[in-house]
Amino acid sequence: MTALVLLATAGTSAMAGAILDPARIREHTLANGLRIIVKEEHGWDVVAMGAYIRAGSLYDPPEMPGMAHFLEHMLFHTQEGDAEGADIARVVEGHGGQVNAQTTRDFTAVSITTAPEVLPQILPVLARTLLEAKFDPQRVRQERKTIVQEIAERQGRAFEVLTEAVWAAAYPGHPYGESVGGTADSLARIDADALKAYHARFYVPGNIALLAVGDIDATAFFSLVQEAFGSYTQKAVDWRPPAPEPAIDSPKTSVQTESVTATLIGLGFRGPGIGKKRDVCAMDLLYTLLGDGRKARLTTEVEAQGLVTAFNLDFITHLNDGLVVLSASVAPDKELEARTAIMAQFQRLATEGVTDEELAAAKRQLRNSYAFTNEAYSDQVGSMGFYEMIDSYRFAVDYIDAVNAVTPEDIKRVAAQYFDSQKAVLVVFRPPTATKPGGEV
Amino acid sequence: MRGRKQPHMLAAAATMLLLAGAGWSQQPTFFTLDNGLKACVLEDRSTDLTAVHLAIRVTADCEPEGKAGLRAILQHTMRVGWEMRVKTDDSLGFVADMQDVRGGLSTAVDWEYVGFGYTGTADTLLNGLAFLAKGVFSPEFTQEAFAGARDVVRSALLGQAQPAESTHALFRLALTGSRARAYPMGTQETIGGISLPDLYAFHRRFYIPNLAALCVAGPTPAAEVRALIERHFGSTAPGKADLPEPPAREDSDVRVASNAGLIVGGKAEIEIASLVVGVPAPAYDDPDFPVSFVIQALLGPGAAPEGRIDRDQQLWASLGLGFPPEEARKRGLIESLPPQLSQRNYLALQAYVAPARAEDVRRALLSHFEELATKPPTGAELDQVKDYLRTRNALYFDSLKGRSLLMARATALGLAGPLVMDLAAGIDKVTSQDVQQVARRFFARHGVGVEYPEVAWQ
Repeated sequence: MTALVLLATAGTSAMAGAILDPARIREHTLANGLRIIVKEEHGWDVVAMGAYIRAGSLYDPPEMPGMAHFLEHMLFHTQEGDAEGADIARVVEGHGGQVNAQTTRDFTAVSITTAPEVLPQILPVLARTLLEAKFDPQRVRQERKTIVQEIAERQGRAFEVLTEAVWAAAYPGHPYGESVGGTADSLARIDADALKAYHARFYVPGNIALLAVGDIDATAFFSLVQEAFGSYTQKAVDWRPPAPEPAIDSPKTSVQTESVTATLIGLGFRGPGIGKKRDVCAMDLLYTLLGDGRKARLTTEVEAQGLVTAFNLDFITHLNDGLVVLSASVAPDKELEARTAIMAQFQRLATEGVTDEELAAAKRQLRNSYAFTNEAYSDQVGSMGFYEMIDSYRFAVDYIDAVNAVTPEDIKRVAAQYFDSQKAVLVVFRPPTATKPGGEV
Repeated sequence: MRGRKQPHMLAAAATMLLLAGAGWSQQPTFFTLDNGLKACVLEDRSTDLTAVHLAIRVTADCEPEGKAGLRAILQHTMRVGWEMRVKTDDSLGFVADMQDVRGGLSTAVDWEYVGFGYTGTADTLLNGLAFLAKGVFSPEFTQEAFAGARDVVRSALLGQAQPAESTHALFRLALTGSRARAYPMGTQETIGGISLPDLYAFHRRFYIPNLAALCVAGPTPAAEVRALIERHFGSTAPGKADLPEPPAREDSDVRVASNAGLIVGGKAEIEIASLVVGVPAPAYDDPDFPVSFVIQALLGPGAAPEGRIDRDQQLWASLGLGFPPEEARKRGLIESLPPQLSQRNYLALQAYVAPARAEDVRRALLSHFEELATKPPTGAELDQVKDYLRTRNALYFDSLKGRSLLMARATALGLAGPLVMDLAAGIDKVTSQDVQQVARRFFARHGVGVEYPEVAWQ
C-alpha cells in the first residue's frame, strides 16, 4: 500500500495501515463449500456483512433474461412456515439494522449492516433466506408486476436506456447484452417452477461467499456461520458458461429516433475482463484520465469546449470482457462534431500515450477514489465481495499495488488495443425533430 | 437492485440527527483555543482517510427579518467562489483536489448551525486545514459568486417544492411561528431581498472562532492535529458572540382548535393531500431529549418495524387511497420524521391521504401522541425500542465522515461531552414514566401542515 508515499507528502505523521490490511483478514471454507472472509475492525460497534452468490444475469437461462434479478426479489418474501413479517428485511430492520440487495451481470448480493450482538439471530434467517427460498405462485405473480413496473419506470431514464442499448449492440446473443432486469416478455416466461429450478442450481453453499467487516472475532464468526449454514449439503453447480462472445471486427452504428430532448450519444469499446488484471488496472487509469474529475480529458477538451452538455464514462470490471461506455448529451446540431471530438480523445491516448506526470496524477486520484470506495465497513465488504465473485477478494487487497505498477507503456498499449475505432459500438438517440448531421454515412 | 422503497423524502431531507452508539472505543480529544474555537480530534488509525468538519453556531434566528436564507446564500457564495477561483488561485489548489474525488468539499445549513466539511486522504490534512481557516474566516465574496449562489439556492428551493417537503415547512411554521425555522433555505421572495453587503455584515458578526467548532477524524496523531489547528486557526480574532434567542411561538393564521396551529397550502399539480402532524419535544439541552428517540421508535412507522402506528390497522385503512393496510404500509404512506438536534425539537408524522380524509387522519395521528400521556409503553415495548435504537445508532458510525460531522456539530452546540457521548446511555435509561411525563409536558399543543390539491381546497 502507499502509506509511506502518503506520509512523505503529507507533512503529518498519519499512521494508517492499508485500508484492506491483509493481516486483519481471515478466511475459512465450511465443509459444504461456503466461503467466509472476515476483516476484524474493532473501532466501532458495527458489523457489515454481505452474502455474495455467483448468480448474476450472466447465468440467466437464454430464454429467460431477468431470472437472477427476479430471484433476488423473491428472497425478500416471507419463507414458507415462517410467521408473517419474519423475512430477512423485517428481522434485520427490526433490530435497527439495514439490509439491501443487488443483482449485477456477474453476481447477486444481499448486504446487511447491524450490531454484532444480533448476528446469532440474523444468520439463521439469512441461511434460510438464501438456501430454503420458497416460490409461492401467487407471490411470484405479485413480484413480477413489481419488477415490470420498475422496468417501465426505467424506460423514462434516457441515459440508462442508452447504456443498455450500447451493451446490447456490443454483446448480441450473449447474456451481457441483455438487460439485468429482463423485459416484460422474458419475465412472463419465468414462473415459480423456473425460479425453483434456478435456485436449486445456483443457491448452494459452494456458490456463496459470506463476507464480514466489523467488530467481530473471526473465529467466533466462523462458528456462528457454521451453526447457521453448516447443515446444508454441498452440491456442485451445474452450469456451463455461454459461448464466448465473438470479437467485434467492424464498427457498429445504430441511430434511433427516441422521445429525447437532446441528442444522446453512446459509445462502447470492449474492455478487459478480470483475467487480464494488468489491463484492468491500466483501463481504470484510462477511465480516470479520460472521464473522472475536472481535469479529465473529456471534461477539458470536449465538455468545456461546449461540444457536449453532459457526459458519463463507465467501466466496471467483469468476469468476462467488460465494456467501456461513454454516454453524452449534445445539441442536435453538434452531434457529428461531438462524436469526432470524443473519438479523438480515446484515440489520442493510443497514439500519444501519457506523460509520467499525467500518470502519476491519475494514480493519485485512483488511490483517493479507492480510499473513498472503502470508507465504511459496508464499502469494504462490497469491494472484497465484488472481486471474490469474479476472481478473489485478494484483488481488492492488492489493487493499489497493481495500479502503481502500471507504466506509461501499459497505458498506450491498452488504449491501442481496446480503443480501436474499428471495434467501437455507437448508439445515437436523436429527438424526433433532429435532422441527420451533415456528412453522416 | 431489489425493489424496496427508498427512504422517505422527508426523512432524507430532514435534519439528520446522528447519535452516539456504545462503541466509543477511541476516545475523542477535546480542547479550546485562546480565541474560543472548540476542537475535537478523533484519532483513528484504521483508515487512510481524514474527515474534517467545521460547524459554526449561527442559527436560523440570526437571520435578519425578511432575509430568511441569508446563511444559505452566504455558504453557497463561499463555495461557488472557491470553485470559480480554482484555476487562478494556487492557494485554492486544495479545492480542485477535493473536487476530483467523491465526497469532497461540502457545505451545510441547518436550523442551529452552518457547516463546512471535507473528506480526503490523510495527506490532505495540512492543506485542508489551511484552506478552511482562510476560506471560512477570511473569505472574499465576489458579485459573480453571489449571483451563482443565488441561482443555486433558487434551484434548490424549486427542488424542495414537493408536497411532502412543503407540508413539512408549513408544519414547522404552524408549530414554531418562526419563518426562519420553517424555511432554513429561505423562500424565493426572501432570497431576492438579500444583497452582497448583507453577506459581509452577517459574516463579520457571526463567522467568528468563538462560535465555531472543528472536528478532525483520521489517522494523524491527536497531538499533531492539535498543533496544526493551533497554527492555522489560532490567529483568527474572536468576536462578540451574541446569538439571539429563538423567538417565542406566535399564533398562526388559522386555528382549528384551541391548541393547534394549522397552515394550508394548495398546489394544482398534486393529486392527493399531504399532511404533517406533530408536537413539540424536549430541546437538545433538555435532560429528557433522549425520550424523543424512544417515542419516535415507539410510534413508528418507518422508525421501527412494529410501532403503535404500524399496528393501527384502522388508521392505515382510513387513508382513502384505495390501498389495503399492508400495502399502504409497504408504500410508506405514513412516515415519522426524526427528532431534531434543535432548540425547537419536535416529533412529527407525515401522511398521504385522500383530501376528504385529511381531518380524520389528523385526529388519528394526533391521538397516538396524546395517548402516551395515559397509556405509556409497556416493558416489552420499551425493550424492543431500545434494542432497535442501539443498533440503529451504531450504524451512523459506519463512516469516518459521520463521526466527524456529528462531533463538530455537537461540539459547536456544547453537547459533545454531556449529551452526545452519553446519548445511547440516556436512551437506555428512559422509563415508561419518562415517556408519560414528556407527553404531558409537551403534547398539549400541536401543529399541522397540509397541502391539498388546489382544486380540492379551493
